[in-house]
Amino acid sequence: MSKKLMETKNIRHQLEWEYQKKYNNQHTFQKEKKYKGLGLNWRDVVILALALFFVGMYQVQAQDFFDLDDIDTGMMLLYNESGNNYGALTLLSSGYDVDITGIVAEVKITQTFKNSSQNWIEEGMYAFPVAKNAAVHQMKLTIGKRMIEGEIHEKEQAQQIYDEAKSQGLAASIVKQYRPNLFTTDVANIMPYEKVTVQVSYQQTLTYDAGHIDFRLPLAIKSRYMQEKFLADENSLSSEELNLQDTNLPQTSVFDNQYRSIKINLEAGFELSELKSLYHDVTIDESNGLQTIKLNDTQLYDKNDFVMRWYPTTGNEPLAAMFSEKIDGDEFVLMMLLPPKNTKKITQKREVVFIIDTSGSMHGAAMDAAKDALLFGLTQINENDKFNVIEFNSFARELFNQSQNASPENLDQAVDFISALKSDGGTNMGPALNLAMEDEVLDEYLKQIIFITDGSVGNEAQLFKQISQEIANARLFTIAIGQAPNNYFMSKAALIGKGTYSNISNLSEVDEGMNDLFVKLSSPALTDVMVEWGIDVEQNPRVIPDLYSDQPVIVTARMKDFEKHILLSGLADKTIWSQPFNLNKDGDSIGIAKLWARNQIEDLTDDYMLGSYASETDEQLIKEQITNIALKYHLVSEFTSLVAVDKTPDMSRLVAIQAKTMKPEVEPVLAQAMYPQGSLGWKWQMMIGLIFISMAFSIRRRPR
Amino acid sequence: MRRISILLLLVLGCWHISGSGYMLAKAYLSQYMIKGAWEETLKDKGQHKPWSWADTYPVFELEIPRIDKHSYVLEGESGRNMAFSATHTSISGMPGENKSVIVSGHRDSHFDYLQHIKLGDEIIAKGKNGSFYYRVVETQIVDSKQKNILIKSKNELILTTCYPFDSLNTGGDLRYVIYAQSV
Repeated sequence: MSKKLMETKNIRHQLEWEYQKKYNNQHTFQKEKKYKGLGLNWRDVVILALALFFVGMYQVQAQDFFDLDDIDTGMMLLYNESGNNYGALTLLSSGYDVDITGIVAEVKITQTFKNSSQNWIEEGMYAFPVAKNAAVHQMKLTIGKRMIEGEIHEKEQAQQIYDEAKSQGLAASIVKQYRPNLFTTDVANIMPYEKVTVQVSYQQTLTYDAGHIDFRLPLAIKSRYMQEKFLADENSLSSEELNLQDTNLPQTSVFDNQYRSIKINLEAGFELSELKSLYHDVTIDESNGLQTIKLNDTQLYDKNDFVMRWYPTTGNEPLAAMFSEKIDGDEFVLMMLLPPKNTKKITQKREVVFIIDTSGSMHGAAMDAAKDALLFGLTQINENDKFNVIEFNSFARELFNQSQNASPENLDQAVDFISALKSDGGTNMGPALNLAMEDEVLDEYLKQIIFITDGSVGNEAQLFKQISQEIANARLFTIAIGQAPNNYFMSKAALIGKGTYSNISNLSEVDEGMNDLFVKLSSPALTDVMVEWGIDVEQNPRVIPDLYSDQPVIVTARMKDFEKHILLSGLADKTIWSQPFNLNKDGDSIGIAKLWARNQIEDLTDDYMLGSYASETDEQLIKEQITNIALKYHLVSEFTSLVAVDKTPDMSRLVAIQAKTMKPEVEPVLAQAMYPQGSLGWKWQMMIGLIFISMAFSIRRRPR
Repeated sequence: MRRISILLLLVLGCWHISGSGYMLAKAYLSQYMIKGAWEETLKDKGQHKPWSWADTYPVFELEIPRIDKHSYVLEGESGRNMAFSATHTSISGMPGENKSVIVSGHRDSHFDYLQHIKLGDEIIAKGKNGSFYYRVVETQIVDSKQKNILIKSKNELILTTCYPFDSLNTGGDLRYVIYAQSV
């Protein structure tokens, strides 16, 4: 297999292979041995450690083999058949043009590369790491007089375009992702000294966390280290693997001479108490609430990503900002609602229902941690609150018929109930959820259902339907304990249940995780949030979640003609809160239509994947809806792909012929010389000498 | 018994350290003698051995202005010659000829500066018949077990040394190669 790939000499294959190999080989690394097993005392260990330290100093700086994980900034990777070497084109400049509106960033990157050798490059691959929560929607490659442009097409059509181009020997590629957020595309036949310009546009949503919003650009150049397996145990690798490891490494001087610029237009929507760049020197100008940020030092060797951070000034009340974008007679609105600076504990009484998963899949440490979480939860309930506990595996069983006051006696009973829980049997969530939701919400009580599970279920669609039908006025909070939960189910269930999802992946952090959740549950800033648009809208999310101290409420909507103001209302600790808000900026914000479309597609795709449609015509309808939105707003989806289309096919054919005829085969090899030795090895000798002398001293000083 | 082993270890230690010191001394002291020989060569265009029992002679001088480094290049890529200075591979071309010129040196002495050379750097080869200018166009890391250096009919300069630069031990298979083109 590997030999064959070597022969095909294709950069994509080679990188894919290296990548797979890396992840299959990880388990071969040996664990460190403890020194006592070797019969050494601490003195020997100190000396050995010193010696190893010196050796280590020289070894760790060696460079790593190249693979897809190393791509931390935009790169043009290449393969050169005549030289039989892999490499990367010299990056001349990178420009980042960014428009940020509230929590949505539209990023346009322009990178220029140069083939600085006298050789033709037969195959190239552009790779760029896009941020989390980002969607690439445009791409344009300019290679001399050739132009390749990314187009969104319906999937089958995209495949056709791709096949056709390939069969004609033209550059074509469907944008591929190897690991989440790595965007790649192919380029063929780059002339000697030719420049290649790549333009990529993507949209990224930003997150609000602990009072600030961050925007990040991937500029950091990580130093790469040689893998242990290469240094240590070559014996454990087969000869084939060794062969592959020894393929020529790419040049690492890609980052030399690079010139870069960053320009950001920021419309935060709120007054800012602080705006700063975390690692780079920038100039910030402000006019009419619009901040312009420019990078000062344009020639950098970066150790850090570029990060802008801003802190909206929040007060004692929730604060909203609104933007709109007009496209083809439609108006798209983005509404952000920020929590107040300090959220108070509400005085309203609460009814807390715990549901704990005692199915077989929870067996072991997860079960113990879940019990701990439950017991911790019980200590957080006030005496005049009500509570109940429900366990489920194949069947559901509740502690009380109806929620009871958190009196010491009732809590004692609950502790006994929980301590006796054993994990066994299947995962049948429906009846448990039904038990929790069936009782009507008591007047004056805020009902919160806390669902502790690993979420390993098969009938997600049915459960989602059940939750949306039965949740009424209660809130569902999902908690996953341990590694690899079913994140999709857990977060979606919480979304439908108007609650939140938290994952406590580290079992030793159960108390902290539960504490954070309980602080949150006891102090919602605003519940039952409503937006009165004053006009018919298509709003996303369909059900607006509650506002908590650690997360804002984000709503996007499409409408015909916006009234320019909304009435926001909700409940703050039982009292009605309502406030009018005006549009911050009218009509000319960027990216809102796309954001709305992305949210809409996500919802529809959920419906489609979950099979929550009545008939085949409905299925077809959802598919059509998704495709139409994706095509209209230029988005990649379940049914559409971004395919690179050669806009100058004639020119490309010409260049391909030139590449064939002008290959540097005209440079005949006159002779071949062996590579001479390359080092004296004096450091090694010096090292050995030092070790001997330190051993002599250590023996001398050892007490008799 | 203990005294003997201490003595033995000390002797071994000193022997190794002086061994490495001797290598370094050879590498750097010889430079003065090679310099003398090269200056004479420039005067009378003849071949001058740096010391009477040497079987090599300086053929040209390399200069990298940006990082302010230079090396004398001895004829013949034998290990013995490389202990004294950078060497020219005999079967390769000479600067100015239409044939690849290969120069090799040790990465822990004369050619330790190769790691600082960047794409686009200027390299000057000063021979007895004048100076030739090159510009770095490519750097590569290759496995010397799998590949040889290709000598082509082309005015280029190829510099090689061991890789990785900071590795302690000697005798690895990887080589760092810099390709520079005549300008």
